[in-house]
Amino acid sequence: MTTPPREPNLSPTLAALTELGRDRVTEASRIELDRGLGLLNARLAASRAQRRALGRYSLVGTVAVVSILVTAYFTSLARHVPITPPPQLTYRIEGGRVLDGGYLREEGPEGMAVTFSEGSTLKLTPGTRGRLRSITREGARIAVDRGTASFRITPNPARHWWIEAGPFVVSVKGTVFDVSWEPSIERFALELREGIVSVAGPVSDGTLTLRPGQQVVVNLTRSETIITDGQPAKDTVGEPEASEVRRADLALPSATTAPPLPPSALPGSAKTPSPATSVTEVRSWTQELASGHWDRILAEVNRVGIETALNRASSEDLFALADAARYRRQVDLARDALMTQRRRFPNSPRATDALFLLGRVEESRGGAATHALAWYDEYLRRAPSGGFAAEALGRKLIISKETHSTVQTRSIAEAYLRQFPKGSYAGTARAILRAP
Amino acid sequence: LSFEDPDTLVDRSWSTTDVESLDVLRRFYKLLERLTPRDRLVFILRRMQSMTVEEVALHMQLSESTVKRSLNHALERLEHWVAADPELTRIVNELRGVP
Repeated sequence: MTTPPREPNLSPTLAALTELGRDRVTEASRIELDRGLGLLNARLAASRAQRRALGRYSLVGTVAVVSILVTAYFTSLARHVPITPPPQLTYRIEGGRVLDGGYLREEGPEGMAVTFSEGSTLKLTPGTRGRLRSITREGARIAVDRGTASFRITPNPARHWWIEAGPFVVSVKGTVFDVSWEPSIERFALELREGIVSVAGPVSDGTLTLRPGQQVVVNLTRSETIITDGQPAKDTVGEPEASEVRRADLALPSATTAPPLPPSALPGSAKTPSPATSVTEVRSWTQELASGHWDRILAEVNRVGIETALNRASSEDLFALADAARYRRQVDLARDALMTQRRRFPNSPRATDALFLLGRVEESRGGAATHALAWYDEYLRRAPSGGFAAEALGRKLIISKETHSTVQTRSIAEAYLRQFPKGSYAGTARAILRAP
Repeated sequence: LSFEDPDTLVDRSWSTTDVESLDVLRRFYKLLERLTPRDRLVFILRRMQSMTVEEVALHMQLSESTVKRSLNHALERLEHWVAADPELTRIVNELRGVP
């Protein structure tokens, strides 16, 4: 008999990756929990039914006959209780079949079509690989592993659909759209015909909200996000795109009203675009950032000079510049942009947010931990319930774990859990408090 | 976690909009996807869900020896892949504030 080897210690990199994965994965969603609860209930129901059936077998006479019938009934019921609770959504498939694991396999040259009982449809173009990941009372989760799929989701406020395409998740209520994912070139595309969808994934701000007629193409290898703004498909069938204007329409409340393109970051060089003809419009740094064009921002700064750029950029674009610089590891430029933000726009909300980001920059610079902590403390003092409060306290926790005493770290962990029990760092905080 | 199909990676949404972290997580998940389903699930349960070896064995209906071997296999492979990707190490070190 061989003895299994001892569990080795992780290298610092793998340990950091594991910790990041543990900290940054959110708690299970309500649907995931409900699905798990349904699974448990189904198993318990099956178990109870079998016990009842056995009990009834012990009766005699006419009771025995009834018992046999009841037994037969429950046995039949138990046999048909599925692992997952009976879904209200059912579906039928044309042009293929479902394999284990929900894999959709086409069996013909026409592609596949899945029609759900409430009217929603899914069509896979020939060669597309997809999966039915879960189907519950609340909706369905479908993965497009490769290729293009067209969805027509019947609006229903009680249901929610998620479409996974590579690292992207499309959140849907009721809408019509095409989605494609090509893993070999890491290209995601979505064309929205009706309704509204949000796309989460490695895009600039984490989430995009699209309106009818818009198409988004994300090229991960080029760090590029392009949103093409056309007319809703139902109005433009057979017509060319209404415009080729590239837009970055992030999930901000004002974005849904299709605002005009803002002026350039550098007022002196701005041109007013004509909405009807602006094929090559001047774009703000915020837009460039949203499109993943970090290098364009940095190139423009180099072209006009850092000092000029910092002194002339708007508050919004200084923030975009700081982000672009951070993403490209130009931490000194990021720091300068954030400090300029605080100097030129001291009363703006971004000046407060800059405090947190300065802490992040200090961490990236590998400087003294106390400097980063000072920025986080200042942010938390000025914005105790601000948008970065959870992250600031979480970063304090991580830094403290590495540099401070256990007592101090435990105190921060307790504070974090009090304020953000479901926050990104809650797992780390609990682990710290569990440790002897 | 036991609600998940063991053949599919546990892929809940990420609660961060930090681009660097998202990029690192994406790379890490790609490495996890290269593991066998059993090794992957053992690694996630033991190292990311902080279960004990006994708990992992109970949930996966495996012997504890098998869990330990599977975990060591997963760790060996992950360490090898991480070592072969210096760019990943560099980014992780920057996120950790290591010069």
